[in-house]
Amino acid sequence: MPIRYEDGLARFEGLCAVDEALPLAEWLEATEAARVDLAACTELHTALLQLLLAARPALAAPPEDAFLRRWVAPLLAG
Amino acid sequence: MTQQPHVLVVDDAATVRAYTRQVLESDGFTVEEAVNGIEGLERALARPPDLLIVDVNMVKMDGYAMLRVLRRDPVLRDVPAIMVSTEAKDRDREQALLAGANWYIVKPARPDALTAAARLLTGQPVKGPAKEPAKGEAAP
Amino acid sequence: MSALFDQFVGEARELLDTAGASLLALERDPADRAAINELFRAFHTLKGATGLFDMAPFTRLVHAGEDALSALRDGRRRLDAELADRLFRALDQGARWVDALESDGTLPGDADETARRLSAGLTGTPDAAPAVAPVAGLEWVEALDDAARRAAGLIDAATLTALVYAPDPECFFTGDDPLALCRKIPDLRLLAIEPAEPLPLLAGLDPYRCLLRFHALSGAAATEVASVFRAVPDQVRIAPVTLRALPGEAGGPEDGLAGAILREQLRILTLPGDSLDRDGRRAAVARAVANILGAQGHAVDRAALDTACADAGALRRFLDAARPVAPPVEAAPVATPSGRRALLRIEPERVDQLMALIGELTVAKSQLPALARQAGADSLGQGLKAVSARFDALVGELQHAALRLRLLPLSRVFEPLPRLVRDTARRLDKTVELALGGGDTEADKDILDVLGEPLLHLVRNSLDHGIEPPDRRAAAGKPPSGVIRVHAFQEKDGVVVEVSDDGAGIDPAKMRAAAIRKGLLDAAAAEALGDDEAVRLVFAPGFSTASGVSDLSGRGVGMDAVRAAVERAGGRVEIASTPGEGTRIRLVLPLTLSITRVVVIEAAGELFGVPVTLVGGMRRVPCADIRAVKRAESVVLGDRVVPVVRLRRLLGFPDDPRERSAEYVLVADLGGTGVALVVDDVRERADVMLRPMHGVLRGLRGYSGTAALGDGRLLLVLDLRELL
Repeated sequence: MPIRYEDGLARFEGLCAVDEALPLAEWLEATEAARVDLAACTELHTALLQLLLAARPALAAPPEDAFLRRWVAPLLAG
Repeated sequence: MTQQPHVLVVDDAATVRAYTRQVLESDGFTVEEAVNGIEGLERALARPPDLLIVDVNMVKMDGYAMLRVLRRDPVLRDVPAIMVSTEAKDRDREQALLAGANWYIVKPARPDALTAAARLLTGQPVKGPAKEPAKGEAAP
Repeated sequence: MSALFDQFVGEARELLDTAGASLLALERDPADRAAINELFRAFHTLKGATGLFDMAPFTRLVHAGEDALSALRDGRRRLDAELADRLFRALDQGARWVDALESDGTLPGDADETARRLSAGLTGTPDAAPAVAPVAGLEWVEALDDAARRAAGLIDAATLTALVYAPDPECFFTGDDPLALCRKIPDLRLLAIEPAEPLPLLAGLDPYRCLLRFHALSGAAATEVASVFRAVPDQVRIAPVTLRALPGEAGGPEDGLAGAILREQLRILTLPGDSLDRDGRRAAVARAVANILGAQGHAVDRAALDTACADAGALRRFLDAARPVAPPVEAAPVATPSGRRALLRIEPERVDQLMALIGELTVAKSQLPALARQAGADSLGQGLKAVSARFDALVGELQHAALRLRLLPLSRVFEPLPRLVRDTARRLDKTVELALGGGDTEADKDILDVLGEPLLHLVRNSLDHGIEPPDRRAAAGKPPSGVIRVHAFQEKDGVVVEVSDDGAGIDPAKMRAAAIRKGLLDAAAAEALGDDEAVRLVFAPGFSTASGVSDLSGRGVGMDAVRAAVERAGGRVEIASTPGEGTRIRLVLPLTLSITRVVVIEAAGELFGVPVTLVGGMRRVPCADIRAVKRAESVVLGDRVVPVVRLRRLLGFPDDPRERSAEYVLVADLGGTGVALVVDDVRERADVMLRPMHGVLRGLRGYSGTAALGDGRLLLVLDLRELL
């Protein structure tokens, strides 16, 4: 399961593909003060990134993946 | 400093050599030129310079090879060297340092970037910040 | 600055020439590594040189060329005729720009536009629409603020590849993941992700519709970046851009630069390598660090520093200890600049002046023998004679040395040929190989000037009329590719340039027929012509072998113009052709224009010269052998009937009153038919310095100039073609 939802926290792990988009959208809409943990995420599909940018959940942990950390994390941190 | 620091410029492009010479001479350095690594080594052996400014791409012997040989020479191995290249990539910079360069400047080198680094690496007092920044004319 | 600029102009021209030659070689043999390397280096060096000046479009163009060549070198791209054309166009444009830079000091106003157009063709950006504004969409690069650049570490000036990627909103359905694609961009320097339009609230967002847009900068070549996006070429724009160095950074606060260099020294100590490599680097680092600290006015314990250079950690601790608070040191002016060496270049006019003076000297010294004779056989006379002989030798050597100053290799006139053959053959759909030989043969600069045009014309003519189309060649059992050879060598009377082809050759029968049709000859005269003479008709004024004049061989500039130009320079043209096998044309020219070897002849007490190159022979002809038909005289020489012309009559002198049984005849070879020139006497051959006719003499027709003989006597050199 690439994204595990625990209370107000979504943990992204490994390769997170486009089929996670609908569940993530539903979860983000339903969850107050949502937080995401991208530490273990190695691939983030554009559809998921787009949802995160629209919903702007708090970033609980930045990705460790160098590419995501450098270019994607700053967009979500603000 | 009574002795003018002597710089050996190794580049196969005559225009770049002339430019570098002009920039350095106007800052008080003496300049010698070589067109490839082999000539560079010969000249350095004949008269060990205080600083080398070496291009990467040259026929016969490129800048990397020249620096590698130089760093193994008992007399010349500690001569500080600046490598200049049009490539701005990290791996090019690393290649230069691996070969034995002390500093890496992306071409076209701004006159002040060139003279400032040359002064530091030859132990010349650096200019105060109040001075005019560049020789101007050829800055991009 | 202007010296540097001049240097640039000269070097740029050389590099463009080199690149052109290498490109031709590469097109002939795409596996030619030396050629591709040389070509790449030429572009690369040009990029560096143009980067020194304010000529960004030029830099952009050669950078695009370098990218294309880099792809070629790595086997990511293939050299087809199309790409070769584009590279040639880029080189041509570069040459035009260098001309403009030289004359105006700046690139023309449309340079930016031109560079964009040509670069787009070279980088093979998938975006093929281009022409007008191929980098539209990349304005964001200009708009990058300093903070964003600093954050991305893009401080120095750099040429990068910029990208804007606007994915198709439906792209998720086709399996695209734009972010994953961006991850694949090689040497990614900057990636900015933004919504193409303001994102709606989550509730209104269709999760399967892509609304993001990507901006990226890469250190890799445009072609490399483009290959990542090859599946979505319509959604990206990719082009090289040039970033300027951020102000106040590259040259920066000195301490900042010193700090940066010191940090680099620490990094050097962590680099891998064998022990010799590492020892060498350590030594260099120690000296560099000592110098930097010294430059900043810090005292350096060299022994402690050397020890500290064992590893990065130790050096860092050493540095922390050595640099408490850096007191800035006022710069001491470093001594005076040293003198510059100047290049020695000789203006042609000065050499000419030298040659003229040598001519005067020749005339002056010619008075010595007369003085020696007057002085008689005593010691003064003997002495004068010896001095005179010594002068003769010295003046001869001086003349020789001065002439050498003007000698240039013929490869200069060969230079335009490869490109001419390549372009023309491509236009005519012929395959032609050009073989050049003897380019190191030397001749006077004036001769090269004379040779240039005729040579171009001869090669064009071979391409146009000589070499057959591949199907005709195949039908004739020849290899489909034709060969044109241009070969130069030195002969005793001068330089020879041969242009030969393995084409269709010239059919003497057709030449005769054409000559009759054009009214140049009547049927009987045409029939009387030998095959060789018939072939020579191509040099007759107003003659053209092709039914229609091709635009390639030039209008109005026929083979007769080639012949005329060569003969004006004291040379001659020879032709040999075998139908079906090819044609060979030889241009024979004197080594120099100023020194001409002449046969000295006498008529009515005056001396005249005829260039040796035009003299086919000299003989005494019994008067009885000269036959007169009406007023026209002729003589049979060998198996040919040759018209006889009397020089005295030609020049308006009275006939020779003396009775003689035989005439001195000089057989002049003027192309087509020979002429037997009757003269009073034939004398020595002499090398003379030909001077053009000046002043009142200029109006005289029939003379190509005056010359002084070694003994000081004046000579008129005849222009036989004009006379006859």
